Amino acid sequence: MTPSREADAVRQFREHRSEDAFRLLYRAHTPYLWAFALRLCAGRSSEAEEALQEAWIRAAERLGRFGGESVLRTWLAGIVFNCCREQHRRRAGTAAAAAGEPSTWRSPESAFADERLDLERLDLERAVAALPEGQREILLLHHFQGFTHEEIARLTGIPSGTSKSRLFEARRTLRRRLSATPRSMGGTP
Amino acid sequence: MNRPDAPDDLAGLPRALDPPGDLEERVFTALRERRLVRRERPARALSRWGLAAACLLAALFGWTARGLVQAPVLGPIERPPGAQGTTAAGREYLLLLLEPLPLRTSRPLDSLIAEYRAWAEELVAQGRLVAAGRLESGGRYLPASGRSGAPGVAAASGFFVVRAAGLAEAERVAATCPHLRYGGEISVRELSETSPPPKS
Repeated sequence: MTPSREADAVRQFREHRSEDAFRLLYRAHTPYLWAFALRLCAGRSSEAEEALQEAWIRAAERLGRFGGESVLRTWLAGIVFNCCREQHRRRAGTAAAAAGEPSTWRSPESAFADERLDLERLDLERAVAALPEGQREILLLHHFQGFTHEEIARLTGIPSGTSKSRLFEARRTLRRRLSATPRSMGGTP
Repeated sequence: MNRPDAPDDLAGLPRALDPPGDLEERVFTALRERRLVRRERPARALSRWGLAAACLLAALFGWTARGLVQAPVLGPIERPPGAQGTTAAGREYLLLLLEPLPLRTSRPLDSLIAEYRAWAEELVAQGRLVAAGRLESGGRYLPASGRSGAPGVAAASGFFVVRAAGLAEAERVAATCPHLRYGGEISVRELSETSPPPKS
């Protein structure tokens, strides 16, 4: 979606609450936000779906206040991040958590376990999913969403120095895990 | 076996993934329930266009197959007198109708349908129309191998195949389509001649 089309869709939504305009924004950004949410949730797709649905509801409630201080996708990613965190904390201690909902990248029945997903990518997804939550969040925010450490600090409430060190740890953990992962075996965290 | 070439820069992970197929409708159902979105102007105008185009294309497609079809909204589209057997010369071109932003028109639905209908009937009278069809929403998008992301083009909602002497003429035909006046876009592409499928 070009910037001018996006700006037009935002204006249409703000002025008329246009469903069609909002749907354009949804379709333009959801594939990226879905990838972000799914990885934040370590592959737990039902958790990611609920978080993403809530994120779009909040985006609709707040888009009138979006002042263009960042690009729209970055603003949306911040909402998705908070929703994923809240979703995870809501589920902690529930029956779903106790049952141990499988990660998308571990379940043999999942769409990601099909032949379209090459083994190298599957190992990468699993390695990211297996990272400690704090490291995974920083890695995804910084690497996939382009947040600076200062922006991460504002979003998460941690110091920017902590963000930098967690990113360093995340990369080191990934490198170690992937180096130790036999190809096609899936590996273990 | 260890993997000495294990990447550490995550370059192998796509930045976008296909969301679950039913997620969009669940999101928009929730948005409507909370009255956060509205299907009014200009969204209502887009629905008008969608209905008009759907009826028009369905009717036209039926016409090309059977000669005459009773369309529930457009009424019968008859082959104009003297047009029997008339076929324009030239090559065939695909006119792919791309989904517009919400329309900005206050024209009533009947008027929109009549405008599209008149345009289509003119194509028929000229012997230009080869086929027409409406594309259902949804479907799947497959990025190139090793790449990720959503489609970078607007969604297609329907098509016409018309005859024209050349690309310039096809473009002139497409330029007269009402679709363009209401914010839509049209991609005009020549259909290559293909060999018939091999007989089994």
